[in-house]
Amino acid sequence: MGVQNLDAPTNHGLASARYLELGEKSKAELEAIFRRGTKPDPTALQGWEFRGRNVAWWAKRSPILKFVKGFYQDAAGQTWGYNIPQRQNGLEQPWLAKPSDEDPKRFGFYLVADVDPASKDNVHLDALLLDYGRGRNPLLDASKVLRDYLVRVDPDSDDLLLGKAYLALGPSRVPSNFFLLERHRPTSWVR
Amino acid sequence: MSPHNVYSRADWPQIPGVRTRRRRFQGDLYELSCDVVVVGSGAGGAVIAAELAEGGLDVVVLEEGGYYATEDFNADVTEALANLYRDGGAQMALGTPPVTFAEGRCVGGSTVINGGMTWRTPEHVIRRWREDHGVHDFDAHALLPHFERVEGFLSAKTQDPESIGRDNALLKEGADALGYETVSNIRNQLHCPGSNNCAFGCPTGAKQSTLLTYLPRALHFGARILTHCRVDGILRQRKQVQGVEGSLADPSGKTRRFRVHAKETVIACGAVQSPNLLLRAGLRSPSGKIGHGLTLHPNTKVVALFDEDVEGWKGVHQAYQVREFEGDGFVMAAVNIPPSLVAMTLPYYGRDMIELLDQYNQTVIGGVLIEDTTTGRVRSVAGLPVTTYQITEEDRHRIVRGTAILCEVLFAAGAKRIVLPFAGVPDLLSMADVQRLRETDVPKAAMEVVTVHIMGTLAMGDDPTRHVCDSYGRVYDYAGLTVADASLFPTPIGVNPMETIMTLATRCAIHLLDRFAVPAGV
Repeated sequence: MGVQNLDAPTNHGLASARYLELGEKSKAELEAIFRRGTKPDPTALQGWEFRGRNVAWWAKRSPILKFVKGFYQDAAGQTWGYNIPQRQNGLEQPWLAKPSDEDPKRFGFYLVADVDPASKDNVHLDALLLDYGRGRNPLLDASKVLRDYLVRVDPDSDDLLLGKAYLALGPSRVPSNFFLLERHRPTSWVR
Repeated sequence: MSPHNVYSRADWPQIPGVRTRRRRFQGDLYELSCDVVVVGSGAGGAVIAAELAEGGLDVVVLEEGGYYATEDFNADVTEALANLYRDGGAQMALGTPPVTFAEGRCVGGSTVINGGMTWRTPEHVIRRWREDHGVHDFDAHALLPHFERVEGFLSAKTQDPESIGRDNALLKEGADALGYETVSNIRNQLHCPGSNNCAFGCPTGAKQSTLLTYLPRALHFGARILTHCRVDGILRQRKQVQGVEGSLADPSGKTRRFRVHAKETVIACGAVQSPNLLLRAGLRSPSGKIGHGLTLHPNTKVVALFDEDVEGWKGVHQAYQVREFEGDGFVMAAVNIPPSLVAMTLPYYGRDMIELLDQYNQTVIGGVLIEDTTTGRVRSVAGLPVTTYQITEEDRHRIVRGTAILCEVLFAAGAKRIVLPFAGVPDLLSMADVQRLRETDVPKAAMEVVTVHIMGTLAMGDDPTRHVCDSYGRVYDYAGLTVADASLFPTPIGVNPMETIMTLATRCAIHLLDRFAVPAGV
């Protein structure tokens, strides 16, 4: 059971030093951390938004270097999630939603699930799967090809998470990049 | 007469729950379903099967060998080698020198043919596994209840004094004379009379192998043991393992296939066969280490001749170990071997051989067990395991030094001549000759090295990039697959491995029971 500290400081939208440091690590180092990572507790994610950053050479000047992922629980108890675009104002600056923090755009929805070893999306069994293909996204939404795997960086904490994104291209699962999530702010939003 | 719930190959159509699928060209296929299928019935397989069955799971144990009871065991070495050992006890790790090794292949596995030494995992090994390999919940305190449980089932204790033979007494006398520390062996035995047939099946039932302990317990709790089942494949849907398949060699010559479907599959067929099965089934580890990390405690033996009648076949297989040099990486013992096997390894022929064997009554056979510093590998070639292992210079020196010290012990006990396991090196005739041995540069190729401790080819640890299995034997990157045998050892342990294997299997069982009781879900 992961720790969900509702009183934990969210750093006022600023990334922690550890978060920034992890973002500078090499792909091999992140791969090693990811392999050792443990599966997050989805109930500790529900009701929270996490500030995210893509870790890849192409991400530094891209419009998706910074993003936010949110998690919520539906009436049936299933965990879902979404993305919020952010202003690309540099990693040292606060995460600010577009078009505004009060009324952010939500897109790229995904189902949060345990990895089914018998399914095609079984690359990392000890991770949590963010399955955009089952996220009830619009028919032609490009995000439907995304499959993210999420692990804890620290074994007993759900506050800092490392993700690995894959593209589902037909039967193939092509690795894309790592990303980092850090607990950002609580939310009561439900789709 | 096999006990209830032990089924041979001919029994398959009558085994409760077995479905026979008629196939037109491939022969009948037998299918069976259960909660857990355990491949292997030795120190790992029997223990995990009993613990899981006691936990209420429907357990099927598959054993490649046959079922032999206490009354089947006798001093017929040829028969024992054929019935109880894989490949007649003549397997080999390729290298210079090649290392001959033996594994059990019968219900009870290697516990039926081992010496019965029951040692807890040494403290420094526990620390090394925890600190260097990140094995969870692994310290003396956490392991204590598991050790005690295993020892309780095995009736682990020292020998009754009257069962100790003259060969072991001489070893102790020699060690005492030189001031070396010895320990009385703790063995899995109940008032062992010392018939010294441990390696060929205990004919008195004193040795508490899994055949007499854990397997009857597993049967009591409803497990089924199926003999003569050679498992050659793992059933799976992508990364979800769903059981195993294999063949039954029908006495009529027909080969019949079987499949056992299970929610959890436990592989416990030893550190050579287990990685071979995973490799031939096409499994891949994120670490790339399946079959890597083989360690085997290289052993050498000397044959010491005394003036007195030793009658080494009288008395327990091993009563003492010389532990003075454990910190230097080797321990010593006296181990009687039947004359037919001694003859096979003596570096003599013709009259010289006859004269030596004529003095078998006056012989003490001593052995040195080395904690190795290198690792070998098991590969799967055309479905068969190919084992390679190359001793290091450090281990070569350890072997020579350990052998020299063993010779000093035996000379101190009164030996008059010692035949060495080093081709081309003359027999030693006195304590003074030992110095000559120490100064001899014995090439690796001249060494006769054997072992019965095969370990470490599916190592456990917390890092999927270095280890094949997690701290509880679960194979990384596959669901429903657990390993529970000596393959799990991340390093050699320097002592007889049976109790460590059983302790790990107990931990694996507890972890599995927890997982069965609490289904994962989001």
